[in-house]
Amino acid sequence: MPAAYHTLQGRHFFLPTQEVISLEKRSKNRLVVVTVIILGLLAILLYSATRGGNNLSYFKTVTEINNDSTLIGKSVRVGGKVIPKTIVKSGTKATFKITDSKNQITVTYSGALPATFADNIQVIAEGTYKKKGLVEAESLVTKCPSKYENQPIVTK
Amino acid sequence: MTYLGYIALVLAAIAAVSAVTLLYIRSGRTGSPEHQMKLPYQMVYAIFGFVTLACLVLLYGFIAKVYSFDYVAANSSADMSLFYRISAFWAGQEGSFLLWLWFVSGAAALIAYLRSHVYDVLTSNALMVMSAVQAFMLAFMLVLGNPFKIAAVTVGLGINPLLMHWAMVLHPPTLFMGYALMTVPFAYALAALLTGDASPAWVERSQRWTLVGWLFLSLGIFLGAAWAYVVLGWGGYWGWDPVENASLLPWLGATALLHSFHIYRQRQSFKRWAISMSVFAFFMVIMAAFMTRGGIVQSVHSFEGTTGILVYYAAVIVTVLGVTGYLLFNRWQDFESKHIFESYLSREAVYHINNILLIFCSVIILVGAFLPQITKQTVGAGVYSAIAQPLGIVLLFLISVCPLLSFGETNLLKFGRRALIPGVIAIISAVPWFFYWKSLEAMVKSVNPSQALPANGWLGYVGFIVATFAIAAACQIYGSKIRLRMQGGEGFATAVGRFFVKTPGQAGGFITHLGLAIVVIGLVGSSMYTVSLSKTLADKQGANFSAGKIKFTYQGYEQTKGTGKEINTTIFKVVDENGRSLRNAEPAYIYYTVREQPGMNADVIIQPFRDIFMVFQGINNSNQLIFEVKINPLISFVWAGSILLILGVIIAVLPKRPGAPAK
Repeated sequence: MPAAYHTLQGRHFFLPTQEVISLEKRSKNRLVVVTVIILGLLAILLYSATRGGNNLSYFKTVTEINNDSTLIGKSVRVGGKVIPKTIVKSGTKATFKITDSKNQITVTYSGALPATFADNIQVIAEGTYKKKGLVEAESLVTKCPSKYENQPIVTK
Repeated sequence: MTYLGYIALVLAAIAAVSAVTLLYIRSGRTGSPEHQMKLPYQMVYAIFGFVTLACLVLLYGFIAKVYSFDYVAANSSADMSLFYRISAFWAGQEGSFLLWLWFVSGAAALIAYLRSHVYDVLTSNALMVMSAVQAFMLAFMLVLGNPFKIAAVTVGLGINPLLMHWAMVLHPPTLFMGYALMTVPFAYALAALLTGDASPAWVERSQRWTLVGWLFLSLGIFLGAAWAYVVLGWGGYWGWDPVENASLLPWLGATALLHSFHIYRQRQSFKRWAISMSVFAFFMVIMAAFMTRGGIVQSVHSFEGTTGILVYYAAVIVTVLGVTGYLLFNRWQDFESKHIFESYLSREAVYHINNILLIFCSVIILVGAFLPQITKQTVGAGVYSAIAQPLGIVLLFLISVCPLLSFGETNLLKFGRRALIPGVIAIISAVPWFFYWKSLEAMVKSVNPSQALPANGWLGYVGFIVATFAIAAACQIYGSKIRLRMQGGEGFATAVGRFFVKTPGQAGGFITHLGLAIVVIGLVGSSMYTVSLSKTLADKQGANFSAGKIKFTYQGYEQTKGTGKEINTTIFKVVDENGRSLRNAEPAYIYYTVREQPGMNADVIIQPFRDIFMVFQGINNSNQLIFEVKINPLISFVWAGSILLILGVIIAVLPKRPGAPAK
């Protein structure tokens, strides 16, 4: 063992003796073993993180949700534009309607409203599709202001 | 004027193509005599010159308010100050691409200049790759993202007022600088493959560039998070949105790359890792750009894309993966490393696991971003958190154990001796941490009883203990390095000073790891135990409410008018649980009159172990004022740790002074 070990430590003139070759092979085996164990653990982690589909939600348009009653009770993510003058704030709860320019749906949300939340703003609501035409949002995001390129051009 | 900018880009493209051609013909595997290499290097300077000219033209457009530039009109307005008009350069898609290109061409020109006394083959090949990258970017700008389009309107639209903040001004260029610098290790990796030179030469030449790139990527993420926390008024700094995640991709890749580089140089090992990670980090830059600018990823931040852009990115991805895959396949044997794994208990083993975990994180983020396009399902923040929390703790543990191990094979006795003190400290700390952890849970319950406690709170507790271990281990290493120098006859101050000056890489690396441990403590507190409370109040002086035992008493509000905005500031007297008066909280609701858009100026009372965060959300339909209060424990640890982390990299980047390092 010691002789082969020293050869292994030396960086030049590497002499592939029988002993060294078997060391090389063991080194490769260790690599495979560690990699396989880690990947296995990661797979378990991934599985448990997404288990039951609890954390995956269906991304739907307003029209799709309105036409699909099987989604009732499931978690959904829906995007649309806030219809002007539909925002009602009572207590700390906000209720408003969003549209995909064909259909509309009511969204309720209690919690902090995003800073840019207002009429005509694109929002993405994520939560439960309670009953036909109503999404109870647990999270609400507005399109980030870095997306200003699509702002309508103001011509007066 | 717009023509001048476009012509400059055309000339830059011509220079880029000539540079690629000349460098390809004249460098090859062996290189050419010096007089033949001068011209191709001058071509590299020429690209930089023309791109700079294009930048100056666009900059002139912003400064002189030339609204016949479509891009200038779309991103600035006459009433903006000079500072914000200049920053509008990178407010949109085309300008940020131009800035990114300018950074790449600047880096290429600097490399050419620094290596022009030798004209080594490796650098010539790397410059060829960098010129090719620039040619690709220029092709995009000339066809799909021309910043010099002529406008149809004659009035500037202005910038979104929420973006007018110093952190948001600096955030994009910082990230783009990081993106641009990731081109350097990629170029040198390809050069090493092209020339078949498996010595550490290519690593030596690109390591510092990568480190600086990593610094900018970290800074960029930090600035974005800080801005989100202060300006957006939602009391958070990270939401696992695809575009936020996108900024994490190159950072993860670069982290794996830096660590592979370290082993390559120290042990002549991890060669294939280093090559693949160079490509991986660069690929992640492309994916990050694609996620933000490709338009197919659903995000709150993304720009709209077109078919042309999709085709372009597909072509780039196929080219990068095709070329590097082919080269790597051809040179697979040349880049074999002899002794990767002499023992399970070795530094190499930890680096190996570290790399796999980092790649795993990147892949999850990528898949998560593109899943909605494939299965119509979205990956919520919950999934990312459930993966990131345990992995973060495991990574931190590996990081802290790694320096206690040896290369090759670790002597168990030695390892035990090194791990003893940090281990004991960590075990003892489990007791106070337990009480602190329980007090956090009690705090959440007392502020808002309806807020659920995190199901995996024990993971946070483990995180605290692991972080303590990491901090103790880092301190122990400092101690032992300094003791070693003092045994060599140096005084304490000299030993500390020399440790930083003579071995900045080591000293900086440990500071970075120390910072990371502190960040983890902050992340546990602020991501798991932030509690929020929504309240409505009548607009009446003396109206009050409590968050736990902290009492907020309404004093009234002030209305002020600024340029283009109305600010409504509410004033609260805040008394903490010990009956002490804190400073007044003054959250404001802003209305931007030009864009008819609201905004919120949150007020944050910063304390060492928690932030009291307060937002005024406007008035509800029964004329009550709406407020949200958040108690955000340990968040200052996130900022302090990040600053330490960045400081560590700055130290590591500093040029090494000659002198023998203490081994």
